[in-house]
Amino acid sequence: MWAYIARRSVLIVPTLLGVVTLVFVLIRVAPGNPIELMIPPGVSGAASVALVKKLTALYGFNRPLYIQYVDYIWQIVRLQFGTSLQTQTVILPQLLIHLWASLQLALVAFILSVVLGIPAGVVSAVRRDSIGDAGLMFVALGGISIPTFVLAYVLIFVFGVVVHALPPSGYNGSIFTPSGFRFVVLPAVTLALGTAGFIARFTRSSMLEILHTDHVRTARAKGLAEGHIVRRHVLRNSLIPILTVLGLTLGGLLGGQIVIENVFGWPGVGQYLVNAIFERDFPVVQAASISVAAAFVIMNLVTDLAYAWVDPRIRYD
Amino acid sequence: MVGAVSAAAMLCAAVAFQAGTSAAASSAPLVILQGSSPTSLNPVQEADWLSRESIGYMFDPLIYAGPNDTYLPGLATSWSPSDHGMVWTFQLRKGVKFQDGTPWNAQAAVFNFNLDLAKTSKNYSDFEPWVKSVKATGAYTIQITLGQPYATLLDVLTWSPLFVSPTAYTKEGATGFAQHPVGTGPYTFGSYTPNATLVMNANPNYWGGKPSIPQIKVEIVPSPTTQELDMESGTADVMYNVPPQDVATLKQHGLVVPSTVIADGSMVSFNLQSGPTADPKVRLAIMESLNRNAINQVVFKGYSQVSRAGVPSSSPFYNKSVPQVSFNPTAAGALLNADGWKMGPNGYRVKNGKPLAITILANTNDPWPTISPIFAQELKQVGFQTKIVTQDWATYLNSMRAGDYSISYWDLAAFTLGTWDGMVNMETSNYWNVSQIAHVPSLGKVSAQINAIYAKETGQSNTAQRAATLLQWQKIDYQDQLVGWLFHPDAIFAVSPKFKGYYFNNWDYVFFGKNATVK
Repeated sequence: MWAYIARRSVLIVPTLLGVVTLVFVLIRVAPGNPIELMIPPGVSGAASVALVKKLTALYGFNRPLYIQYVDYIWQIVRLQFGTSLQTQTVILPQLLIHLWASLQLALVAFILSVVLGIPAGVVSAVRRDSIGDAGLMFVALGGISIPTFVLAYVLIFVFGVVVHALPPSGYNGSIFTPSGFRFVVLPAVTLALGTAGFIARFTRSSMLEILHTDHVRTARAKGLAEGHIVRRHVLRNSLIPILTVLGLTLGGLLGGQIVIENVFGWPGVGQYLVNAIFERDFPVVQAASISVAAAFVIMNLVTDLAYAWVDPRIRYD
Repeated sequence: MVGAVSAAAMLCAAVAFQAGTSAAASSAPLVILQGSSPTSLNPVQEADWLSRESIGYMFDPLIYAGPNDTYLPGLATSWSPSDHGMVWTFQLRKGVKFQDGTPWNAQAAVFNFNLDLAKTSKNYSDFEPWVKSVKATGAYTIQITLGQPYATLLDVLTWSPLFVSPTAYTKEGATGFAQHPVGTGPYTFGSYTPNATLVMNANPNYWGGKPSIPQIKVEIVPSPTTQELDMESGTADVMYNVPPQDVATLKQHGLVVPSTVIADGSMVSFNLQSGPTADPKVRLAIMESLNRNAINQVVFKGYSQVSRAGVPSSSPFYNKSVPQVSFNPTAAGALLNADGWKMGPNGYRVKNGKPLAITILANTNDPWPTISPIFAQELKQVGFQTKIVTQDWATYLNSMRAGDYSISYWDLAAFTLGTWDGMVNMETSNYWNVSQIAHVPSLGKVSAQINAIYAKETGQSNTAQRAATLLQWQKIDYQDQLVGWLFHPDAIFAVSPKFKGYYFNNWDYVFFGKNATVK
């Protein structure tokens, strides 16, 4: 197992290198020059031309592209992500703040998705074609179909403006305090309703494949309780594809949810990345992209390891 | 209907910090909403206005901008020019300390000016090329010597420098200081989470008296809709940039929605160098095709003033003798006909086989997405073949400088035309100049005239003289339609009824006296 983990960990490097290279090229190919965005309105004429030239040299953008690339890779290897062009601050602490915000939101949304989605999917599968099944799948479909921002504004209006139960927006650094947790409820619920719907539907279809297999029929014939059969024989055997979906879901949540972050004023990595793209803040775009890619890659590894935990037949040697 | 609230009237309801009265009863914290994070908490580093709106409460300038283009004492109590306005002497306020205990004096003032002039923490200076030197001539006296006439010096001093503690700045450097800013202002730095919150606490030792509002919390909420919901739920107290179409809804929720005319001019920016818009007759035809009064009602719901020569009617530089282009599509069509642009069978005009095709370059910022299709529709009525290109800001600037456009909608924040030389900047190589007026070969002798006017205006501080000089520019501008002036949109705010004792200064951010309260 450890050898497998080590091998997979090594594979992270070329994956991230590919991401870094692609982002490096794409952000520089896009129209718009970050230096020109730095020139304030009060600097005019020949002074602005001179300033552009000076800043281009200062930030090394006048060097050949391959030199800039090699220099950047060498910085990354030393875990130095550089300084933001826009704010002139070191990127790593800022990135960690935004990653922490995304992680907290992702965690709550994910737990909620699982708590809502899997039981709903199980009930739906077990009571297939019943009113309960139809109702649950209708709600699940609604959660998937309603645009996230529409759901967000509706929830804000109901719980923030009408009922005054929860703050419409904001973040106070930590969800692990009562006052801090209030801020994460609405964005997490908004995210969870969509992903829970997806998880519910997937759980249902995955379980339906197992429910009528021979070994389940045998278990019933042996007189085992239905609940026991569903938990030990059906759900457990359905978990492999469900785990895949959960892994992708968590990866997506960790990667930043720009719409939710924008609506709720949640300072996640999605917002950080999109702002940097608009500002052509190359170092921030590169650093944030690496972190998002790393989140996906790590989630993939965790998902693969979880397969082995769920299914003893799977061994990684 | 413009619901303008004069800053002077609101000032009567507020008490400036420097006019001490007894402290008010206890107050809740004040929550101000902003759409984006400040670029930096270090006022020496940051440049954009949005940042100053957020961090300005921690610092003081030498002079405060008062209502009706007046100046109020800040960290300077008096000032006077000499040597034909080339030397300015400032008497500094005594008994003031920075929030870390460092005394405010001439030495501290000179330190701050030198940070700017030496470009220590940023790569440009707010005072170049006009200010030659700043020196201390006494413990509480400084002298600013100009290298060339600078009529707008006092205006700039209302927003720069925002004085930082020399002790803290020297010890921590620019980047470190940005983590723990220290000024003389009514509020001290509390905490900052980028893209989330900036918290500032009342300074008990503030020279103007401890503010009664114990804390200011600037919350970064990018979505204007969420900002409105925050206001309606009562969790926030101040919102900037209220969309005009939402004013009625906010009022229904019991919010106060003041608006004020600020010196912000929006205009049609023409590509004067190439394409159909290099022709002044085409430019005039474009302006005659745009129904500004109707757009004012539809887009701004009446919360704007149709512009005459780029100057709002409240400005001392407003002059009714400068003509205004009227909406007259018939006249526009006749002008184009006379200019050889004949109507083709497909409804578009043609000259020498070439269609009258123009590109409307738009940005994704409001109200451009709304304005551009209206422009396109109105121009189409007169026979223009239009194409709208909408781009994000960085790409847009690229296209502007490359000249990949015929017209663009632009707005320019300025104090008032004539009191800030940045209002209409005439240098082609200015990266922010969208008019590209000067040095344009097609303008011929007009270019030289404009440069001469600009040079004269820069050195004139007398309002009447300035107005006379600028009138010359306004007439040339009208004659050649160098800039297609459109509107002066109101700044519209939403304020919680719990918040009392505030006003919005000329720079359009909320300012309040020490007795202001939130309860």
